Amino acid sequence: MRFPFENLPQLTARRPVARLEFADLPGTRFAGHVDSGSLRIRLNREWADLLGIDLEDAPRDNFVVAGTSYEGRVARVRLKVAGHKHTWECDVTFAENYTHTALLGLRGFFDNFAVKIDGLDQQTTLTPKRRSTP
Amino acid sequence: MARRGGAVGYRTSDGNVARTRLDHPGDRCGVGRKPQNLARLLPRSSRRGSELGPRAMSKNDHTRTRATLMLSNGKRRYLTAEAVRKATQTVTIADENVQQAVVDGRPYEPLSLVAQALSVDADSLHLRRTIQALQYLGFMPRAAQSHPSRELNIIRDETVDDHVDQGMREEIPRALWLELQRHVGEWVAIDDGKLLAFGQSLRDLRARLGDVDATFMMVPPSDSGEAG
Repeated sequence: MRFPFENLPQLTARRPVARLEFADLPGTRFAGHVDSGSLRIRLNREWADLLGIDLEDAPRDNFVVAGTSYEGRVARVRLKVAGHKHTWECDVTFAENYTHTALLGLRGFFDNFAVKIDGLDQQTTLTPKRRSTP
Repeated sequence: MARRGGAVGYRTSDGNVARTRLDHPGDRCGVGRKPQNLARLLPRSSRRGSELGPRAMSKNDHTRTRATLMLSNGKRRYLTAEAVRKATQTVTIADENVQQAVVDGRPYEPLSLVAQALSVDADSLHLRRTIQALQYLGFMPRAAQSHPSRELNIIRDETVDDHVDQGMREEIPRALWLELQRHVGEWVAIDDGKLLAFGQSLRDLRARLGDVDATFMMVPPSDSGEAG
């Protein structure tokens, strides 16, 4: 599974990006910045609303991105690589007013794939480390 | 190597004669997928003879004045040695720690140099292609010239876009990236490099598009800083 580097809004230079979607929302993709500096997958809370996930009693996960602090809530979701069959289940942090590009971090993303970021060829290759979740 | 009818060729593993190593996908060159296209990637002058190895790309560098360079938007531009030399008048000397193109004895950072020479944004350049173009024009040394497979690997990698997953081509080309600046703080839906719709709420935007497949994202404010 290969993805070309892309220009993401407000980020200088092309970045490693993977396009994912929620298994429960087929055809609704999001572009995630492949970022080993992020601990988890970080998304705007509106995604949880769209998925019908109640975050009221969900565990908290506060984090900082580019100097801005966010209060997040963690929920378990089933993700899918857009355009591919591979799906997996993982924890994702949904944060109110999170305006950055979705981040694909160590837990939930990097621990499910061998991730090869080739800066010279400007592409990211994902090799699943686990079997697809049914 | 075998000769037949005056043409130089290679005896392949199954006993046939191939005009070039690339003509025979089974031979050990690592480029069996699209041999005819790979040969086309080489400059015309390099296609003569029997081999697409280092010999094909190492001679007469100083006489080459023009290379074709594909930008990240798929457009092709001609990079001339003259434009590269002219660009050195405005591009600063490179730090010794970066990859360097050497023009008239002075080092320059390849992307900045070629961006200036072509009057394009450095983001629109593919680093490997840029280096290959500069190598072709004789402004950069080639790595590992002694081993043919390395040279062939570079050629193979030129076709790497062919292998990027179908439907997974770059979704946000530069033109769209600029268009998105008008929708800071809004949700946008994009597909195939085009802005389909935008709105204040992800839920509303999804509902408005019905069953249409798209990539959804919020356009961050410009002062949000770089993540990482």
